[in-house]
Amino acid sequence: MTTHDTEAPLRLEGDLTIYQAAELKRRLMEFVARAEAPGLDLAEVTDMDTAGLQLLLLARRAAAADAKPLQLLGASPAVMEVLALCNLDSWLDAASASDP
Amino acid sequence: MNLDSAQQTFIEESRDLLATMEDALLTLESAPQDADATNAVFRAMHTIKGAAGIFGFEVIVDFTHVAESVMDRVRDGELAVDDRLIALLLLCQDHIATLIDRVDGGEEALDADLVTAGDTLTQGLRGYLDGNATDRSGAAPAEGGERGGMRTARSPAGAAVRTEAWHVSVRFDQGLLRNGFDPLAFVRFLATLGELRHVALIDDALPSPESMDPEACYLGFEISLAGDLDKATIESAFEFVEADCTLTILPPNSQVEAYIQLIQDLPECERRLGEILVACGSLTERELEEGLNFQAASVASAAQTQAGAQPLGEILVSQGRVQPEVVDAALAKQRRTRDAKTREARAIRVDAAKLDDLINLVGELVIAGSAAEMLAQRTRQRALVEANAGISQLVGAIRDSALRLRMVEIGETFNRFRRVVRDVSQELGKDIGLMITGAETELDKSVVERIGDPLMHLVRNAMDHGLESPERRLAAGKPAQGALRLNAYHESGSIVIEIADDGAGLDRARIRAKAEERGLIQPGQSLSDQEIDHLIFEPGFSTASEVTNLSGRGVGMDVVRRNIDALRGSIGLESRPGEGTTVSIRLPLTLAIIDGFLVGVGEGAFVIPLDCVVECMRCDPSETQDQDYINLRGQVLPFLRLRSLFGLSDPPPRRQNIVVIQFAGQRLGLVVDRLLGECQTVIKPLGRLLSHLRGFFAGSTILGSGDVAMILDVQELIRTAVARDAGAGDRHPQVPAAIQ
Amino acid sequence: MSKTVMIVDDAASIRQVVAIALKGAGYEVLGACDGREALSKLDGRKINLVISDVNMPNMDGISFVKELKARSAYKFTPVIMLTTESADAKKQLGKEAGAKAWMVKPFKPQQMLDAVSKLVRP
Repeated sequence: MTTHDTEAPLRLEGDLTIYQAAELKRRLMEFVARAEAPGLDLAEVTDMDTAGLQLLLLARRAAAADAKPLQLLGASPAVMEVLALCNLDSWLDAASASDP
Repeated sequence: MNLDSAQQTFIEESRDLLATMEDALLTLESAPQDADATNAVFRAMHTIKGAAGIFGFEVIVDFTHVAESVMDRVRDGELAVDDRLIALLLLCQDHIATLIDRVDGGEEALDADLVTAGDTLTQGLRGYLDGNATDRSGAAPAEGGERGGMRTARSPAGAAVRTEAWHVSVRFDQGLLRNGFDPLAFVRFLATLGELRHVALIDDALPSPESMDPEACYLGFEISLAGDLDKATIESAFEFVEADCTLTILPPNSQVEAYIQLIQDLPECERRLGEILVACGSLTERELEEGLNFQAASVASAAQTQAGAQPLGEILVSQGRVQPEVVDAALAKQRRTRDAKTREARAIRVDAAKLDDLINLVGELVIAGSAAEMLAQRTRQRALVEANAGISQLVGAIRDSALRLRMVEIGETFNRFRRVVRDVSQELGKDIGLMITGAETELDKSVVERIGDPLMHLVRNAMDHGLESPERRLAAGKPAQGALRLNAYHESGSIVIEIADDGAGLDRARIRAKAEERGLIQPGQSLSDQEIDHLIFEPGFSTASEVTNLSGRGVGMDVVRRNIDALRGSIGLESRPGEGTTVSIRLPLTLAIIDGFLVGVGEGAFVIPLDCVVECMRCDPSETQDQDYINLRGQVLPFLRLRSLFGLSDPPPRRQNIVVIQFAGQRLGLVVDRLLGECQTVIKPLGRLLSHLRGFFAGSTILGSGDVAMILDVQELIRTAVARDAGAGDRHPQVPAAIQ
Repeated sequence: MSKTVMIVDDAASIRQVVAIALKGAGYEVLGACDGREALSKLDGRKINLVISDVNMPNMDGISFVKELKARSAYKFTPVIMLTTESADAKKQLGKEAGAKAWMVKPFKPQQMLDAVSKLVRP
């Protein structure tokens, strides 16, 4: 659980691919700007491609620019596979590590 | 994409490099251990090869490649430099120069002779490689061909890395995703080929959210892949996106330098890339450090020998940036090098036409400035006059600066002769040592360009006819090695170039005999030594008993003199039998703007180059009426009456002046009406209409007042006076028609 | 969830070979004998890759791809064109239509599998 439980994480569902990219970018950026401790729940994501991954990275960077860590609170198998392939699993681990 | 101007740069650059290479080779002859010279030769070959490749001049690439390989071995200490190798490399340098000339002339095809010559040289070079050659045409299996967006990393000499895994580096183009491709699929595919030891995702190119296009691709990967693989298999993972990505594959145990090259070629920051490669396990920390240091040293020596010029290949292709630390290392080394080379590094190339435009403008500025100054003086307003004086001073300074831009050191030209002397002395079987002094002496660029041929002829003459064979020299009590000296210095507004030899001197008896034979002089005619010497400048004159290959074809000294004359210069001879000969060429320093002394004769104004003016004085017409000379402090000073010279018939004013001018050690007085003071003038060449007057005038100029003034040709005036006096002394006084 | 590949070719044998090879690797396969039939089957369901021949009756491969890419649900779908000739003119047309990958017939089934695994997208 996040330390700021007043704030809801952004839950993404379905495909995170280039077909959803434009809309996804808008949602992510808006969320990151708004939230004080942004968290992403990707447990219901069915598929993710490079475009989707890129947007996650973009969001992480944008949050970091505001000194906010973007946390991954849940990842579906599809998401985990992509993260593992790209050596980014630590991102996931970091989130779970901070869970009390 | 039009590459024409880039090709022109390639040609010039290659020629510069070949000249550097030649100098370096000659240095190696006497100092075979000289690392700088070795590097210079290597880099010349390396750079020409790289650039030629961009333009597709495969013949040049193939040829320089072999030479580069040989020099590489020399650099590594595997091969020692000896006279044979140097001689061979000099021939190679000539061959490459010929190939470059072909490119310049737009000739695509090579004739059979050239091909054969090239092959012979290549074979000779291969002898120095014996088996270690990395032949370009027969690529080793580990190196693939070059395809579209895929490059094969060549493994240059250097230590091999320890990792047993393949290193795959890929950067994708932005449009990749829109085309329906997904880089993740390629990485997954690689995982089916072998073990993905490490995958590093490179997202450096990801822009800020505002500019990020969600449908574009900004990612790249650095991957370490282990397994029993070959390059083709790995490449096949990317076969559908060949053109949409930049792929580099380094086989296991590649040289460290290959990784350093990769680091430099990739767009991301070097330090970060280094870290990533280390994290991938493809490079150890130590290998990275050593590799970067080696690269820094190479960059430094490149900067040193190439005067900091960027190889053309980099300009057209590279995205690489050098880390500040590496640049610092290069600069530190550069500071330790000789001053001359450091100065070279601060030079820039300037289009000659642009420079001429600038000089023209400055000339106009000088004239306009004079006009303003004149007008200001007429107003008699102190402040205005002073302000104008200030401007005139600045204009003068700009003029001097601009003219200096056109000045080049004669050393460049002199240096070319080192090779000539070496080759010719071998050909003649004579031992000749060349000494060059005054190399820093500067002269106008346009003069430099035209002085080469006459100098060449004089040097060859000295070697062929002037210097004796070693046997004759020893018999005469001279050292076996003949001394040839090229010297240059400034003197009273001119540059003097001397070609001196310590040979046998001019054979005056022979010259006399030949001259009589040719009907140039009357038998029994009495001539001074100087006059006899100067006979060799007569057309068709040659006393060489055999016409050697080099000189004495009858295309001789007369052509040389004509060339010098065309440059408004003069040539002098000094010869001492048994001791040697010195030929001196005197040339004007600048052809564009001069400081002048204005004089009035009749209604016209004339400009005398200020450098030639010694003094002026009042003169009484009664003194000058009956004779052509005056007594100046105990010495005879001949003079010319410009009034008479220019055919002005009206009576002279009551008071006249004499301006004493001097040129090449000879003095002459010019009788003029008025002295009008100093001026700066821009020389405008005489147009066709006035060319018949060329005899006495070096050009014309526009004064501040708007009037035209003729610039006097001092040399010609002196010559005229000498001829007049000689004529009057020796034969029945025949005054040339112009002087009456 | 398995990925779906569509094979469009007027030769039944080819469709069959592809189906067998891909199904064996865990893919779902949809077949069509020409462009028109293919388009009718693209009802919005997710297609992860399209393999299409060039020369077909009713609607040839290039026109089909153009149509395909015009539909927003399929504009980023990767397409492998099959061809017998290495005619550059056709390739250029195909590229412009949106087909960025080509494979020459006849091909080995394994070749096709490899290509599919490189190109199929989530």
